[in-house]
Order: sequence, then C-alpha cells, then structure tokens
Amino acid sequence: MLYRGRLPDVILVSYNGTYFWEGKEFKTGDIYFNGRVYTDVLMNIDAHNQDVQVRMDAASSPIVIYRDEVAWLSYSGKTFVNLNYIGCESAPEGFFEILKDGDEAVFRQVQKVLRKSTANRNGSPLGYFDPEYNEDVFLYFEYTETYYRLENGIVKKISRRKARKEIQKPTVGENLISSVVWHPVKESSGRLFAVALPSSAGTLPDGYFEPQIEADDNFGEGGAQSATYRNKIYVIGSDATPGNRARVSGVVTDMESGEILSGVLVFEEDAQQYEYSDSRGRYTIELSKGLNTVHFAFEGKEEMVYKLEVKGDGVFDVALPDKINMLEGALISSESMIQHRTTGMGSERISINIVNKIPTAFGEGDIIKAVHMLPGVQSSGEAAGGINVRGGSTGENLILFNGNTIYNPNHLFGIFSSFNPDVVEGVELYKGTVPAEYGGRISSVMDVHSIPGRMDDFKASVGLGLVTSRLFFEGPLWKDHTSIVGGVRTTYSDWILQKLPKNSYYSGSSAGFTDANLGITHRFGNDDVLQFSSYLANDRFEIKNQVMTRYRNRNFSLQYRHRDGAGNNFTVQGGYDFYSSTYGDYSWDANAYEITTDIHQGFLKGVWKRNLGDHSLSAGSNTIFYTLSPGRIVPYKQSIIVRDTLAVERGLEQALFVSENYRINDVLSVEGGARMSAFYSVNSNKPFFGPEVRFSTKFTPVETFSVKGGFDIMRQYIHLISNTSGISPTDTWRLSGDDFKPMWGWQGAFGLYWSLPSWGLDFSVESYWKETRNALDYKTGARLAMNPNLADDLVNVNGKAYGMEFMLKKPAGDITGWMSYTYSRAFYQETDPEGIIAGGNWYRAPFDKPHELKAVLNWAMTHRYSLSSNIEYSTGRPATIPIGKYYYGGAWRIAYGERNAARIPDYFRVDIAFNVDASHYLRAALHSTFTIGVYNVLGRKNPYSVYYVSGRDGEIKGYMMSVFATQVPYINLNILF
Amino acid sequence: MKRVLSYLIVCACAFGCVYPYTPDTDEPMIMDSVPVFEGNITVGDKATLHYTTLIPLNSEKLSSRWIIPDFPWWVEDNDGNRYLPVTESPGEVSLAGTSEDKEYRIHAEYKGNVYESAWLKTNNKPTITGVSFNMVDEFLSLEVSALDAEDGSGYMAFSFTEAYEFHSEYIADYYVDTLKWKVLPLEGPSSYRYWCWKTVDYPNEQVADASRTGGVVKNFALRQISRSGPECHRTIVVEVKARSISEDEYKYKTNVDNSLQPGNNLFTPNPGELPGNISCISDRGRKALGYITISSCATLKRVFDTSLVRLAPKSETPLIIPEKADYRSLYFDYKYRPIMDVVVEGVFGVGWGHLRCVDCVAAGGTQTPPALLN
Repeated sequence: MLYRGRLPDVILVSYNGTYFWEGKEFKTGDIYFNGRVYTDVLMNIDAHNQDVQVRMDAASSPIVIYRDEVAWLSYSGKTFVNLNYIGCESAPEGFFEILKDGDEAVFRQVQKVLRKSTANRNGSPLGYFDPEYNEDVFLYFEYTETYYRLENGIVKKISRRKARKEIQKPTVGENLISSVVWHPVKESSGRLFAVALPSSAGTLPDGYFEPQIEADDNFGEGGAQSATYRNKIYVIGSDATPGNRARVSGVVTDMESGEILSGVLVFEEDAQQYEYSDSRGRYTIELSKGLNTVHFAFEGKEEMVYKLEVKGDGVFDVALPDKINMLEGALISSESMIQHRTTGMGSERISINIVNKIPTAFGEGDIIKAVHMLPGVQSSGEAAGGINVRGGSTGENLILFNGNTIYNPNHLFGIFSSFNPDVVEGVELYKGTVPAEYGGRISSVMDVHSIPGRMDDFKASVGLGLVTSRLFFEGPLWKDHTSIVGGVRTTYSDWILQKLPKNSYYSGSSAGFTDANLGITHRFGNDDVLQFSSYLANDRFEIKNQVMTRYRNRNFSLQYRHRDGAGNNFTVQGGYDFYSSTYGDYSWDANAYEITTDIHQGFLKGVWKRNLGDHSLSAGSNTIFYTLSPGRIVPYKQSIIVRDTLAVERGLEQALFVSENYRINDVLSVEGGARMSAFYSVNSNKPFFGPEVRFSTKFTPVETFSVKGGFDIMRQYIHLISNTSGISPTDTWRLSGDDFKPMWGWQGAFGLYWSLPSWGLDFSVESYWKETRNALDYKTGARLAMNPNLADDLVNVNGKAYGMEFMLKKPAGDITGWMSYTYSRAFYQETDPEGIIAGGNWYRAPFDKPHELKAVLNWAMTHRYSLSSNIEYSTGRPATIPIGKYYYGGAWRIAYGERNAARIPDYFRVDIAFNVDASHYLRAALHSTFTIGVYNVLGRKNPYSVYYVSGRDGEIKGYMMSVFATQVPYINLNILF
Repeated sequence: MKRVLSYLIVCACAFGCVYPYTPDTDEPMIMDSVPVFEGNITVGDKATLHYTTLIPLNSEKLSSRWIIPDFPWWVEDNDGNRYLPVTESPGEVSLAGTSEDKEYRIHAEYKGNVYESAWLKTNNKPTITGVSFNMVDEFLSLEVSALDAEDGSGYMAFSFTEAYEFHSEYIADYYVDTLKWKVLPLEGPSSYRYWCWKTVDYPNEQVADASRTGGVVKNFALRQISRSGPECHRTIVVEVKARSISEDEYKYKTNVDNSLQPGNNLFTPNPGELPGNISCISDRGRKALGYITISSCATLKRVFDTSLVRLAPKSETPLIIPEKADYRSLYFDYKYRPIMDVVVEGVFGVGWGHLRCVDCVAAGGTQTPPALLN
C-alpha cells in the first residue's frame, strides 16, 4: 500500500533558521518506504517533527511521508535510520544518522526546537550561520544534537565526546544497516524484527504527487494543517472481543521525565467522549470498534492526537512532550475543557509550574499559598497556617500527601508550607463535589501528590533562598523499572536570629525546620506499580527562657496499583501517619513545663475503578485506626509540675463507598456517589455512623458552556480544638465520643462555566449554600491544653455559609493566570438557644470575610523570562473588640463586645517577581533558574491581630500587629544538574 | 557581598511590626448603664463593695475610679439573714460573728435594677510557705511560695503590701535661686539627709495556677525591682496575702489581666469578655461586670535589707539645669528631683540631685515607721 502523505506543517509567523536537519535544500537520495526502496528521490529531514519530506522536483511542494513506513534513507553520503522501525523500542522517535555501523553502532540525532528569544544569536543556535538572519525576528529554530550507541540491541544515550571515541574504534560485526535492506517482520507474538532482503530498487510511482494541487487548494482555504502523528493508525486489541465497543486503557506519562500525568484529558473526537487520567496517570475510555481519533491534552504539554483502530479491549500508553510550539492563534487548553467535560464542580488543580511562579514571602514555591489564591479559600491571617474553605474552619480540611494525612501542613507557623516544591507535582483541591473515595472532613480535600521519579537518568537540583535551602534528586535505581525521588529542605534561620541585637526580646532564640521526602517506585511490567512514599518533618521555635514549640510529622505509605486489559484499575494503599506537637512554657522556672499531644494513625484504603463507556464505576473502602494522645505534661528542668497524661483516645473509622459517573448523552451527565462512614469510639464504647451523599450533574448545551449543580453530605469524626485564629501549637485534636458528637454538614452548589476560545478565557460562577452541625467553638477563657474536662470549655455550634465565586481564568498564552472575586459569609450559632455567645443568636465565624478579590498573573516575556504578580484584597476578618473600659482590681480594664462583632482593617497586598527559567541548551552541564521578587511591594501594614495595653492614668492604647509590614525582597536560585 | 546578604537577611527578620491602632468602639448607649462591681466578703469580719461604670475606651474621665455605693445594697446568707452597710461607711458591711459554714452573696439595687452575685462559700486558707527576694540578673524578684488548702481547687490569688525605707541619699550639688530663677552651685556644707518610710498597697490580686503542681506554688513572682534603680530601697517589708480561689475566679481574673497584656503573640487566644459572678436579675439582658470574692486569707510578712544585693547605683547622668519654669514640673518631666528646700545663708532655693534622690514628702513618705514593721 502506498501512502501519499500529507502536507507539512505551515508556520505562519516569521522565524530564523530552518527546521530541516542541515539546510533547506532538498537532496537526491534513496529511501526505504512502505516496504520498498525508492531511488533518486528528492528529500530532506524535518528535524523539528522528525519526519521525511519528499518532493517530485525542486519546484513542487513537499509532502510529508509517514515516518512509521520509513526504515532508512540516505543522501549526500549519509545514511539515516528510523530505529523504531527496525525494532529498537528503547530509541526515541525520529531519524538517526549512522556515524558508525556494526554491532556497536553510533548514531546522531539532530533536533530543531522552536524557541523564542529577544537575545538575537545567529550561528550556533541555528545550527549554521544564516546570511538571511533577521534580527527583528525573535522566533528561531534552535539546533541540538544527541548521540546514541547500540549496546546489545539497546540504544543508549552517550556524550558527544564518547561518541567521538567510539567512532575511532574499529567496527565489530557486520554492517547492520547500510549494506542491506531491512524489512520488518512481525512474529506471531507481536515481536518486531528485521530480515535482510535483496534490494528491490524502484522509483516513486506515478501519481504519487498527484494530490499536490488538491493539497495546495486545501492550504489556501484552511491555513495551517494539523500536527504530526495524526495519520498513523494504531491497532488496539483483537477481534476476539465481543460487541461493538471496547475499552482502551493506559497510562499517560511525561515524555521528558517519564513521570505520570494526572488530569490529562482523553477525548475522542467523533463521539465526543472524554475521560481524565487519574492521580496515577491511568485512564480508561470506551470506544466504538473501528477508527477513532483520540486527543490527549494537558496543560503545558503538546496535545497528542492518535488514530486508534479499535478491534477489542487493549492498552495504549501515551507520553506527552513539553509544549514548545510558540505559534500564535487560538488555543483551547485542556484546563478550559475540564469544566465542560467533568461533572464534578468546585475542584481546582494547580500544577507545581504555576505554584513556582506565584510570588511568596521568601521566594520559595508554596502549595498552600497558591491554594490561598483560589476563590473560596481564605487564609486565617498573613503567614498563618491553615486554610478556610467555603466557610469551614481550618480543622475541616483533609490534607493528603501521597495519600498520607498531614495534620499540620506548615513550617514556621505558616511562613512556609510543609510541601517541598521540588518534590511536589501538583495539588487538587475539592471544595465542592468531593469524590466519594475521600471523606473524613466536612469542608474540603486537598490532595497533594509528589512526582514518581525518573526512570531513565538521574537529575538533581539545589535551591538556595534567603532563609531556606533545598536539595532534590531523582533517577533510576533500576533503569526503566525502579525510580527513586528524594528531597531535603532546611533553614538557617538560627543564624539570622543571632544577628538580632542582644537586648532584643528574641535574642538567644532559635527557629527552624527540616523536612525530607523519599519515594521509591517500582514497575512490574506495564500494569503493576509498587510505590513507597515517606515524609519526615521537624519544626522548632524557642524564645529563650520563655516559650518553645516543636512539632513533627512522620508519614509512610506503601501503595500497589494494578490494571488489567479489561479496564479495571485496583489500588491498595496502607500507611502510617504521625503528628506530634509540643508546647513549652519556661517563663516561670518552678512551673516550667512541656505539653505534648500526639496523633498516630494507621490506614488501609482500597479502590477499584472501571470504565464502562458512558458509565464509569468506582468502589472501595477506607479504614483508619486512630490513637490519639490529647495531652502529656512533663516538668522542665527544676520545675515542680507533676507529670500527667490525659487518657489516650482510640477510634476506628471505616468507610465504604461507591460512585458512578454516567454520561447520558453529549449534553447531560450525572455523577452520584454514596459513602457509608462509621466510627467506633473505643473509649466510650459507642459507634457512630451515617450516610454521605455525593451528587452532581452537568448540562452542556454547547461545547463551551456548561451548567452544573451539586449536593454533598460529609461527616467528620476528629475535631480540631483551637481558640486562636490560625493553626497553633496549642491546638488539640479530639475524637468523637461521649463529649464530642461527630460533625456533619451538607453543601448545595450551582455553577456556570463559559469558555471563550477565541479570547483564550474561561469564566465561571459558582454559588453555594452550606450548613454544618455539631461544630465546636470555645468559651472565652477556655483552657485547651491538658484539660480533662475540655467539653466544659467548649460549645456546640451549628454553622451556615453561603457565597458566590466569580473567576476569570486565562490558562494559556503569554499572559496566564486568573482573577477572582468572592462574596461569602459564614456564621455560627450555639445549639443551646440560651447560649452565652451572642445570646444564642447567629454570630460571625472567625473567618467570615465577605469580599475577596484575588489575581495571579504571569507574563511570559520570552521563553526564559517572565514576570509574575499577586494581588489580594479581602475584608478584614472578624474580631472581638473593646466597647469600653472600667476600673477593676486596681487597674484599668477593657470590656469586650460580642464575639466577632467587629472587624480588623481590610487586607490588601501586591507582590511581584521576575523569573529567569533554565536555559535550553541541552548540552549545558548545569541549568539554573533564578527568581527575584518583592512580597508586599506596596509596603502596606496589613493587620494580623489587634491588641490593647494600658498606659499611664488609664489610657488604653490599641495596637495592630503586622507580620510583613514592609516590602520583603527575596532572591531564590535553583541549580539543576 | 556577605555584608549585603546579612543586611537583607536581618531586614527579612524585621518585617513584623506593631503600629498604633484605634478601633471605632464608641457605643455610648450602653456606657452609663453598665455597672462594674468589685466586692469582697470576709466572713467573720466585713464585706466591702465599690462600683464604677463602663466608660468609652477613649474617655479621659478617670477621676472617680471607685465610687462608694450610693444605692441600697447588703450581704445576705443562705438562711435569709441580711447584713446592711454601716451607716458611717456605706461601702462596708460588718460581718462580725458570721459563720464560715454558710453561703453569702451581695445584693445591690442600682438605677432601678437588681444585681446579685452568686452564692459564695469561704474556702479554707492556703499556707504561705515562703516569701523571698531572689536576684534574677539585674532584678530583685519578690516571690512567694504557698500550698493550697486540701480542698482547694489548685488556684490561688496573691496580693501584698509593701513598706520601704528610703532617704535622700545625695547631697545637693546645685540649687535654684527661686527669687532670681537662677541655678547656682551649692557651696559649703549641705548635709541635709533624713530617713523615712512609705507604705504601698498592691490590691490587684495576682492569680497562680497550681492545678498542675499538686496545689504547690513555688517562687511565684509578685514584683520585680531593678537592683540599680530608685526602687531598690534600703529596707523593704512585705506582707503577702494568699487565698484559695475557684477555677471560675481564676479564669475570670486571668481573662481580665490578659485583656490588656501585650498581645503580640501569634498564638494569643482570641480575646473576649468572660462573665463575672454578678448579674442583673431584674433584666437578664442587662450587662453587669465585676466579680465578688470571698476570702479567707493567709498572710506572711518578711523584712529584707537590699544593701547586699544593690548594684552600683551612682548615676552618671548629667545634671539638667532647668530654665526659668515651675521647677516642680521637672520632677516629673526630667526625673531629676528636688532633694529638699535648702537654705543657704541669705539665699532661698531648691537643691537638685540625681535620679535616685527622692524627696520624702514628695514621694508620700513618712518619718513614722509603718505598722507593718512591727
């Protein structure tokens, strides 16, 4: 069969250089194409797309012939081979020049990458000196070359120097390629190998270039043609599969690093079917038998389009390359389409690439701070830990890191997050429709996952900041089978504190943290993966002879994933989580003490997922066993404090869940889930249980406009008790039991999503109403630490929250980012109608901030340089303020009004950062990224808290404390090896 | 480069700041009608009651901190007996002969509303096991140790009275000629020096939590004195009072104290009003502040000679020569104090000395030794 090929890509913008291997000139040579050798063919290699273009003559338009049908070609004394064609599956796609033939052949591959740079460079970046170089043009094709060697049938990348040495060695064995004509043969097992055949020379048949006129006409009407790979047909499965439909499943990975990609849109063009890869990169889509056109789209990656000839159930793994095409034009990103193609609502995904661009106080990428910038998410104060999601308290968020629960996701009380940005791949926040497999918290789920590590070669980086430094590494332990990834982060803040004046309150103090991640992933073939993940973190802060806080996270998990050809995916994960917090008060020697609280948690979770075409099912169970030490006090040094330990609490949480996503038709789909959660309190010998509901529906009348609605019921059996604004070391966790009823809450939400592809914009509005029951608030003067009768110091409250979140997002282009405005309210009311707080009436929750305006913008000035900025405004958070003063006990005192009846001043902050990304010279030994920025560039004194002191003669003075009351400059350097 | 880096880093540590802040807190409609009661019942002795009212935060009306009740009030026990104020002292009720076995409360009728405290029963006395002056760096710390009563809650309240001996330690070097308003060196002998005593009551009780130490309070600091400052007098006598209090009272007083503590701690609990133990029973919605205590005090007295712990006191601060002005205002403004009126032959004026020179009369002292010394 003879393919005529397709027209080459048309690049509509000006550029320097050429995408051809050496020069633009077509050369006459021989080519093995579609099972035959053709001679005297005018051809050239497109090193950008790794294709061969042929011409009938010098005046005619070129045609791209299909690479997968080309075994080799030779012209100008050089021979190029398609290593994939001859069975070298380990080789990259494309053509390789044979520098040395034989058993230990050496190859060179030239790649041309379209770059954008304002720093004009003629010559080496182009691969040759171009006399027609135009200095006004910033786009150019950069020349890079890579060398490979054939060792025992496997192609391995080698350095240029080594390639030179290898070439000088005598050739061993027979010439493998250049002296014979190879013809691919497939065994019955499917293995591909090559046999030598007598040369059967010929010329391109008449009519081969016939479609030229038609193609030119097409070009005139349609403009640029589609990308590569479109017309290769992949045969999936066998005819043995009954029925008209079959399931295709696979894993989507990053072509560069081999890392799995979650959230990749898998979209079948004709039937308008879509699915997403899950957090392990797996996808399953049911397709009609026959020819299907399937897109794989992901932010920052090249959208890949494959033609799949589906004969039965089968596996199709995909690797997505980085998006390097800088062509202008409308772009519909996968992010845009997510809202129109998923039924769930209220979820946001942020990749680490975006996180690293968001300016932070000390320049280090911070997942928590990035999540703060989403609508519906509020921080409890500048640099304070914890988030409030849609009117929920900080303890109502489930924070997962590779499936492990992180009870305190902060370092240095919130200045840094616990998550090392080098290790993290991205975060998904569910603030609305939470998938049924997640539970245990009533407000949100934040699922952070780390990268699995490269399977091909080692990479490492060192990050240097003003306060922290980081080391990161990843690579294969067993190439293509086992990878390791690790990261360590520490501070040198002690050194900084020593710089403070000796008479300072903080003199002699210490503060710092250390954390470490280690992950090992092993693949058993294509379908089974075993993954070990661990996280260790230590925090400490001490003001000499005054107070000390120390907290630790320890998390370990082992996960096994399996998939089969029938579209079933199984995941089993078990692990152990530990969180310990110690608070020391050394201010009174005789009563100096340290109080420690611990949480030990063992968990086992199993999930089964199966895609059945219009239906996708999942089910599983989740078991958590808690051992919680609510307090242990020990004397410090000469203290007379009596050692004491509060009764250890134990509880077993068990959940069974099932959910289904049903795509009724192109316009309407529904997703429903049920989760039966139960909790057994060992201490009170009392069980609690109740159903949880997850439901959402989507109506998409046109592809770019969707309407969604959702309803959730969630339950929570572990309670964070706090009387401070943010997460504090004095906080304590308690399990449901006799004293504390399980919390539960429901949320109804409604949303509109509108994409404007021609503008590259997405607009969304989500509104919600949410109510919670059996939440806890504290009584004034409550003693939380080491209180055996803690319930007496707390009150049961019901909560209600409502709001509207407007969001305008630009996911692609030179300027990316989002802007959002949120109007939201959150209130509490004591369940006791004669309650002591606000007289039993509704009162503002401590995180009730009605107006919030946020913007995260990034302007990619060039491929290397970008400018990013944050803008954040919010109404001041509620505060309890004085209503007057009185004389009592020999001093003037202040009387406070109703709880949270007033507000501290509004919050407003602008940050900017200038980012220099790594150079793209692949031959460079080191790459570095550099960020310089200013946090709070306006120097606004945003309030964290207000307090009052008594002056002379009864004068009461109010003060406002700002954490970052001035501009905070920072520098951050990352060196990549 | 290192210097630049150091600068940047130290700057980074200094971003947190504190600024004056004035909240809009005027709520005049409630001010006058919110009474604040402070009373004490000492069974077998007497009960006292003061009151004041809540005033706006920025009010400068501070003259009447405590007001003797000018409204009907009394103490009543759980047998229905009423004890009325003493006629000549309307802020006091005699409880002579009353029994500690009963419960007592205060009843007051203020501006047409009736206020009553909770029923209170006398706790057993704690035992003061020691009062000491400890040197902590450059400070002298007055510390008390005590053991709570057997049936105590583990919370105790301490107050103390202090009497100290002081004197005009320095001889004047200069004097102001008040006729000519001119500062002149004081020539010739001027050895005026005399000793006197002053007694200061510290009524504000400080509460201690001994619930985690088995009821033992050890070295609880009541007051710190700079060993080189003017308060480090030659001889100090203190009488410390201690009483057992309930957990509720401890919480109330801690909350009252914390309401005005510097709150620049990131983990300071959110402030709020903690209800006292007196409320308006005629109108449940009406606010009332204050706490009525019941006491059974233990006392212990100690005399301390500071001469052994005093740091070198001589001040090298230059003398300020006042301009023509009311020299007495300088007493406050410049902390340079008149030693005494000096009489130089033919000249009337006021001598001036260094900071530690304290005029007995100006400081409210007396040459009569206090009763506490006995």
